[in-house]
Amino acid sequence: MKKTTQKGSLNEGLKRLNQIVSWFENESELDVEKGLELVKEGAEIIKNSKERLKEIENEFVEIKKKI
Amino acid sequence: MLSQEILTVSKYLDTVNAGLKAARTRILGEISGIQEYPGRSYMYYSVKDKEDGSTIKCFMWKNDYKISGVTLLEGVEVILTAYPAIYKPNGSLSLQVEHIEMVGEGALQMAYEKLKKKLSDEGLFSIDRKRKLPEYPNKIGVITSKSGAVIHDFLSNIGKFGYEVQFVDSKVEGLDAIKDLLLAVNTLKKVDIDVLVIMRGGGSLESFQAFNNEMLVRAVADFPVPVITGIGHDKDAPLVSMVSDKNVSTPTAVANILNKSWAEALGTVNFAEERIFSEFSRVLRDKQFLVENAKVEIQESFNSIFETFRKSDEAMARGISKIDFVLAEVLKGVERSKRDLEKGFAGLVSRAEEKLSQHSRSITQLSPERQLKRGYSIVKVGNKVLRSVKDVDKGDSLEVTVSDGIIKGTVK
Repeated sequence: MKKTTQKGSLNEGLKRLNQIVSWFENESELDVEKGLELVKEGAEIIKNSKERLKEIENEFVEIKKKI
Repeated sequence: MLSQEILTVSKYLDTVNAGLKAARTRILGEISGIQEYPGRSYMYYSVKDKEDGSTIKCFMWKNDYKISGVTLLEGVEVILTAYPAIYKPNGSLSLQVEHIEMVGEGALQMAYEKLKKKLSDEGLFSIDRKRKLPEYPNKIGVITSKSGAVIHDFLSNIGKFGYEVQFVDSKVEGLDAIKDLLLAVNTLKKVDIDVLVIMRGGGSLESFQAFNNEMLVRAVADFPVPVITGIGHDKDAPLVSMVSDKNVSTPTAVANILNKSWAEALGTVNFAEERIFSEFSRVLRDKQFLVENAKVEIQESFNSIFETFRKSDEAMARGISKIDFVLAEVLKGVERSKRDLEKGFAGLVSRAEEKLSQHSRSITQLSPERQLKRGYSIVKVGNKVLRSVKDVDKGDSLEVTVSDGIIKGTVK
């Protein structure tokens, strides 16, 4: 997977995680089946996000000035 | 030793001009005779030694003048960076000026304040113009000097988040810095990056002059992605740092800004993980409790039903045994009644027979035949039994029944 895609999915993933957390915190009567679906989705996002957030070496490219 | 080669004037001036370039230097003098030639790409003026009046004519491209960021006025003392050149059409010697600097801190300060006001009036430093830094910057354009501690500090402090650093080396102080920086900014303008970082170390106000250049300030203001500057200066902030979207003083601080969202992302993921799983566990516990509760309730309900059933069963058994008893009693009663009935009936029959006998006897005793045998007779007139003399007339035929026959006669 390209880093740019990962970046996009990380951003989207974190937003989705916040939505899932809000759902769990705000629903007064939780639907277990829906909750299970969200837990599965959240676990997948957490796995991917942690994968993206683990140490990845930086790339350094020197570009020559162009007129 | 004299060269044997014979040159044309043009070739000779080319050779001389090439040699004169080595005489490139900085020259102090006062400006005079400014000829701007509106609409043309070059200008002329003279620079004069204020001590003895020595003067030399100067040629300058207007673009270089613009980059210099100063305003030429008659009599103003400046430092020119220039080299001598012979103008071939007329053979006159002039200075080819590359850059003009104002002389002294006071002049620099005035120029700085003037430009600052101008740009501020245009709204270039307004908070409203500041763009939000990208949340998870990945492609970072970096402009600074390759030599020096700045780039080292920056690279040591950015986290290992897979950044793609597109680095352009540039002078950050001195006369060549302005052109170099502008070129670097324009180079990165065409590169796909998320954020641009411009950094340099500390220094005097004079050494920051490149970062007070109007063209550079405008180039940073117009840069297509947000710009972070790490141009440290305690007093009189460089104008480039004022126009950038985010300014901090050190390369380490720049690295920290870039790392911030990434580091927070990890916290967000860990928090979300904890919240989601703990909340879901709680829900499951609650539901399990509900299920357990329901189980107990159902069990109790069943027990209650079984208990009711058992009691009903017992009641029914008791009822059945009672019914058996009652039935037995009824049967006994029936038997008894039967016997009583039979007995009564027998008595009744007996009494009836008795009665019949009595009646039979009475009938026998009272029967006409018996009466006839005892001597009585029955007289009929026609078919009518004769009970009175009034019932007959003379001449009526009589039939007298006796015990052994009928006697016929006539009334006389």
